[in-house]
Amino acid sequence: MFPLPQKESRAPATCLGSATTQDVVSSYQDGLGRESPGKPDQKLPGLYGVGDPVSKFSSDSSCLSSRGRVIKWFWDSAEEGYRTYHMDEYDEVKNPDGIINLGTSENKLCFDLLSRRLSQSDMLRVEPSLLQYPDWRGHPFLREEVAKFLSYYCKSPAPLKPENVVVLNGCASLFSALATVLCEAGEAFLIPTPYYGAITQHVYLYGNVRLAYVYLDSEVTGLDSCPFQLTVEKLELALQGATSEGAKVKGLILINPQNPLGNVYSPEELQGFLGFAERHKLHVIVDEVYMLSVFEESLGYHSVLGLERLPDPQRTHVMWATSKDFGMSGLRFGTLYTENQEVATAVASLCRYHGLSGLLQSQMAQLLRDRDWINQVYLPENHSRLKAAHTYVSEELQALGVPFLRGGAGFFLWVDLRKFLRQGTFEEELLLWRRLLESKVLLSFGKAFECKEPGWFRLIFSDKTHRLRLGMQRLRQVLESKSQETEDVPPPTTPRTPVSSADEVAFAWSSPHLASFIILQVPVKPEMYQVS
Amino acid sequence: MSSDRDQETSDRSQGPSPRQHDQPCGQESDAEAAGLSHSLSHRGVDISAFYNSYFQAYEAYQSSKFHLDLNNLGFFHLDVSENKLCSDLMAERLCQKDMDDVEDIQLQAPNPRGHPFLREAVAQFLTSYCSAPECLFSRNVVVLNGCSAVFSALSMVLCDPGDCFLVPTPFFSGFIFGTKMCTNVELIPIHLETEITDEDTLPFQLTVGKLEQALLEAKTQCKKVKGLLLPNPQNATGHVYSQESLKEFLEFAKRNDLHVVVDEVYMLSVFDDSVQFHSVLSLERLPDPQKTYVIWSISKDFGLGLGALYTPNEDVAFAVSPFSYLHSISGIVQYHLRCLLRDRDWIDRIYLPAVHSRLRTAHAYVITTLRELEVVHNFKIFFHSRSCGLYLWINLKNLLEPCTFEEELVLYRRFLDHKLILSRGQSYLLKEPGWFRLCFAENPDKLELAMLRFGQAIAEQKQYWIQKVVQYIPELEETDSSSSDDN
Repeated sequence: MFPLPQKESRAPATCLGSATTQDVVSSYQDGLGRESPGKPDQKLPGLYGVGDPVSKFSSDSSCLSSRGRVIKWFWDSAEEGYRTYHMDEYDEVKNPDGIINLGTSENKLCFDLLSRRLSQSDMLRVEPSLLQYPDWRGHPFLREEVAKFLSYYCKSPAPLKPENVVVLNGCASLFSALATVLCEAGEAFLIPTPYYGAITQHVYLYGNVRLAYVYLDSEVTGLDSCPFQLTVEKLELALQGATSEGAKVKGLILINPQNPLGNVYSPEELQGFLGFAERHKLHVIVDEVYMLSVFEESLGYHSVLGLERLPDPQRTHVMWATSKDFGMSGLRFGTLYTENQEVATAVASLCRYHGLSGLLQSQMAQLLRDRDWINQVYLPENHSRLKAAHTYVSEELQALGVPFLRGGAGFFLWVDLRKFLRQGTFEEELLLWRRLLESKVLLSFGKAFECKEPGWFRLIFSDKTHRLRLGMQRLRQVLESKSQETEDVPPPTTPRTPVSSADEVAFAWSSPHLASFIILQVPVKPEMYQVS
Repeated sequence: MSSDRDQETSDRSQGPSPRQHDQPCGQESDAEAAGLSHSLSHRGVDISAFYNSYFQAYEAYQSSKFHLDLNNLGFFHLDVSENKLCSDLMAERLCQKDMDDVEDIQLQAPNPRGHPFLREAVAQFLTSYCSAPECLFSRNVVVLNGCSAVFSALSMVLCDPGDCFLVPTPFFSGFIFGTKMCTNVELIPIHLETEITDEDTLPFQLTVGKLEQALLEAKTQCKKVKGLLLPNPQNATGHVYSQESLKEFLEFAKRNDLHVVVDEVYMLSVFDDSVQFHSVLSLERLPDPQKTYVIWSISKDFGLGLGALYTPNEDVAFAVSPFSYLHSISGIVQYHLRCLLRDRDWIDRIYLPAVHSRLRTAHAYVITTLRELEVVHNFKIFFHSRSCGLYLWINLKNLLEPCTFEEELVLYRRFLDHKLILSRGQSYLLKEPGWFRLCFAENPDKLELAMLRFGQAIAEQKQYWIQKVVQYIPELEETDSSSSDDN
């Protein structure tokens, strides 16, 4: 009946574009080494850029519409690493030579705690009424629990209201829905880079909304106190620049805690950014999905919902999901909190396409309600395991002489592998990424986060020790051989001279903004800092 | 399209007032009325406005559902097109031991297109229940959280903005909401004959002739038709297409280079044993496999949101994958679904027989009640006795005077006044007034109460009809009121 495909007919189901998670490295740009990648549509270097998700698209013939071909290409570009990974996943017993995934931002440390909790009897009660069509905005019982939960954990000055809550099947859907209701097709959101690249797709697929980048530098200059620091001034310049390019900017996306940097914004910074948005009548979408994953207490995390006063509550929309904080990206549960009823209603109108089964709603309500388990069992254990894994990987990186941002929130380290590139280009970055993948360790390359500078990688540490160990070992092997190559063949136009570990200096700042230290190990570059 | 889109609600913020927005096709005036927003984009405003006008009474229903003990003045939603008859069996099955397991994979980042274990289960299930001549491949399966989502994703990859799909009526105009707002695809209705001439006439009959005509009309209006959306079983009558009919429709599509999306959502709801359902997947040979897509869902039957797409076109299956994040199914639910679909024993020996038996009973009960009402109130209700599906289309034109959509609306509101939510034909793009859709897949005690209210509403309507008829008799208008008791 159906013509047999060319491939073997019972090929494993995972082979065709099946990889990836929500938090995947998605490089819609042609950073795949076919042509020089460059930045999308950027006329002036440095400060800003306006994304064109399909600037490098080239058509091929198929049954699909033009739009369909673009979507497929988009997806195809993003999937290479994960496709490869899923065809050769590491398994201690079945596939010890398989690929170690240090690229997907997922907390694999607490499945035991979660499985146990979700298998308890209160989770398994199934009322027939739950099997019927749900209230698409989310059952009232769930929205009440969400409001109480967020009030408590965000430390809101006043109790949050259930009517301001909308629930859907994850933050991807929230981005899509918000993009659709806040923007016309072709309009843009401002977003500081580096940022979690999958957002590009989420706002583009249905919403046809672009991103206008606020490029941040690793180099600390002027009033900056840390690398990749976002300031109101940078936002102003980027907004001006994007607007001059013809982009119609409708809003600003902030991710707090930051992905991939692993840092948090102070309340003063948040007020500053919200004030900027208010002045320009921009919506602010704050993604707080890692809110409870701040394992370094000294970072002092503050939710936007915890601020005494919001400059523009009608344009402030906060999202949160269980996928990261409760280590269950597979469960698909996300919430939006906004005082703007028009926005809440418009998003809720789309909920039927992003709905949650009644059963899941009931389970989520149970989970969120269980303050005792969360505070006494889950969070302490989760933070402790995250911290231990973070420490382990940090030490390994230090031993390797690899600089990185310390972070302290989330599951990732933002790692500086620039010195391992023969040249500071995105092609070289991709080559290194491929080399790592061939050596069976998957990281995420910086271009996928629209990082301005080639050579930055995101490394996930929220995994079991044996996998981390193996991953780091493989990383070491590649970097050591790369170091060797770099020393043997000095690149023609490298901005830096090759360094040896003896020249590296640990340099610590005490930031006026941040309670903790940021430790950044960098090669010697005399004009950049002082030797302490 | 017959699926979870067939609901009517109103804006929550305005409270339960289904009477307020009663213009299923008045999207323009609603959008205008909504005016400008300081927060939303124009399309954001449109989305809210469309949603308000298309999904009217659902909100009222949700906020005041009938409950025997707690709220016996609440609403009966007799048209949400879901099967409530077997929620008890399903709930019981979901509490069984095999459902308890929460494995890591359920919590982990989802596989786009759905977990392989679920896609495999769906492929095997469809192979079996669709009587596919060869095994279906799991890699040709994509699972999303509902069939609206599946059609939405398909529209995105098969169509460019402004392209069209032909769809036979009746189909819920609220479905336009999704396609217009989210995917920018136009749905062109193929108007099927609804004129009832005698008992044997099958209303809403789709033929190749009608397809040809609809396509021609669309082309003369310079519309770019990309495909055909075909419900199987037939949406309104529950008529089950023969394999020959299906082939003819598919051949038509091939001749005209159209995609065919076959909606087999009600596949398991054939409750008349003498009727044989034929899935498109049972055909020995598809005229154009690369342009054939089958949508199946168990939301109707199992109460868990699943929309499955099966297509031999791997390109399309791949292109639909990115939408899986936006229309994802929870890992735990995927696991439950896998357990259910594999439990052939439970499905065949317990669940389906119970579903069919209860549907038969409910269907028979409603038919009997309608016949009784005909006798009591001395008027004819037209309907076609169904052998599958969850609802009945009835024509109450004999209670409309004159027979217009305005009067249809009056009757619709009367049902609402009696706390009954039915769907009316105009919302389904029917050309002839008087059609109402009634879902009978409700528990017996509730169905009985609902039909009681239905009867009360009909009685009132009959009185109202009489008064209207009297008004139109000129002689009576000229006489004194003392003669008004002539009738």
